[in-house]
Amino acid sequence: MKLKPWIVAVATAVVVFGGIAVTAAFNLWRTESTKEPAKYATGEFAGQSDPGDIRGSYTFGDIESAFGVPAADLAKAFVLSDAEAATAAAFAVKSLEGRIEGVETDSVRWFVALVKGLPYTPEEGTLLPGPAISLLRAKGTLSPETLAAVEASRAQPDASHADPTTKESAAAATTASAEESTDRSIKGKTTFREILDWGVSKEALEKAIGGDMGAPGVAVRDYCTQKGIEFSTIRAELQTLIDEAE
Amino acid sequence: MTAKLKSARKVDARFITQLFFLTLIAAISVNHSLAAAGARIPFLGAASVHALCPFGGVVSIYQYVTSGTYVKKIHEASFILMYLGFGLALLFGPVFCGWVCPFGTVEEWIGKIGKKLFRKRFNTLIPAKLDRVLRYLRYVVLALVVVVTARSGQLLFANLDPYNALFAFWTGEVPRTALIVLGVVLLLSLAVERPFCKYACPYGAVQGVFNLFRIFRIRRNAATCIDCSKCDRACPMNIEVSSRTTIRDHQCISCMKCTSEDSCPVANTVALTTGKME
Repeated sequence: MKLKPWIVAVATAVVVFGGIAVTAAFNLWRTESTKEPAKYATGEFAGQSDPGDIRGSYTFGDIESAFGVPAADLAKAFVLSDAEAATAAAFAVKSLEGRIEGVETDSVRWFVALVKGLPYTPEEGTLLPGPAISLLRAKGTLSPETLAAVEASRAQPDASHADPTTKESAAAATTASAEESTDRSIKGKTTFREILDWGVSKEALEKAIGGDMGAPGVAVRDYCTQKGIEFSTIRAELQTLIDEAE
Repeated sequence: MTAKLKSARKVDARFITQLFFLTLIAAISVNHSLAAAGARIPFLGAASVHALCPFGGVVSIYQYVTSGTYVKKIHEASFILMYLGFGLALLFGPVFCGWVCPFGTVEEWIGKIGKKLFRKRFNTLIPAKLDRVLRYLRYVVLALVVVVTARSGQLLFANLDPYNALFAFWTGEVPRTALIVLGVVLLLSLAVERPFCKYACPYGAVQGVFNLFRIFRIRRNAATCIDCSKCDRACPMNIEVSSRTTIRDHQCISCMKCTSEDSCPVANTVALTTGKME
């Protein structure tokens, strides 16, 4: 049976478009991700969403739906501008590329895994912005080893790649991260976790505040407000302990 | 007059098919960018170029079988197109390469300009001995891409893919290396016919294997052949059709340019057929 070119042309079109039509009818034809990450199949986290399946096409809103990490937290962690943060739910993860060196889709996967306490090994070269590290530290659930690894992966914002609307945020993040890494003076937002990280023992800290510190992610000022204690007094005592620990 | 009409009619079917798929992919690619900006052409798909490439299915096979997920940037559509491509290849050989692939079409059409520019020197840039060896390079590319992608779960080929580069170069998301590969291939297409298809395309490498057992094959009737070698000159992949009775060459793209429907001047001498030529 000899074939003429027009038969090959028609057969090709029928197979290609017929195949697409049939698979579409059975809801199998998909050209974009479903925004439903794969789940861990076995082990301790079986059934939970796997942050390793987060794709660049996901928005912060998709991540909030799948993992319960608020889009607002992601916006803060990844140094979105005020305008972008206002619509953080619609911000696509891949839009992070090129803003801060080392901070890309894999950074978001790692951050979400750390927030949710899920296993994930980031790719070599993956970094996290300072605000993301601050958020993780404030959460107070990371082990010292993990926190050290996260600190070692702190990104430096690259203003030359940044969108003009993010330059202010990037500059602020640079300033903030520089301050965070060298400044050990207690401020209103300083948490107990930070004080512990600066070398003060839990016993000495609790002796200074006169009670159980509770959750380490709580800011010292908030603790004082709750307990009705003068913040300035506690601050002075804690600062002495920090200075002695250096 | 009759031969000219016959040739024009036969060229038209493949030309129209190639033009259709090239236009479709280009339009969808533009629509993908428009959709990202909040505006899109209605009733037209807006898929990414990666989703419309069947090779994405090939590189994702290992990850899909072992974990049920796809390699990043690959979706169900790539798998389905992969199966459809294999189905067509089983029937007719690599018609995907010769009739559908928009990148092959672009190379071929640039080659037409090259033929006019360089005339008899066209397609002679690479010495024959080197060319014979280089034809197997695409299997090395295939193996590397599949293995590295299977190990890393990342789409390694995205950094080099000239197809994606051609249909997404305006987005700013194409790796520089891919743009360089695209530029080199397009430039080379002026001097060599379908250079990427011949030497580097990993999907072409997979499709080419089907030529060993496709149902419809290019066959030559030695009894009626007048040894004019027009089939050899017409073949974009430089296969010596005139020296064989059945073409099982892994490089054949089933374009049918060698057949009596196109360049062969003798009726029923070279054809895409199931049975032996009589």
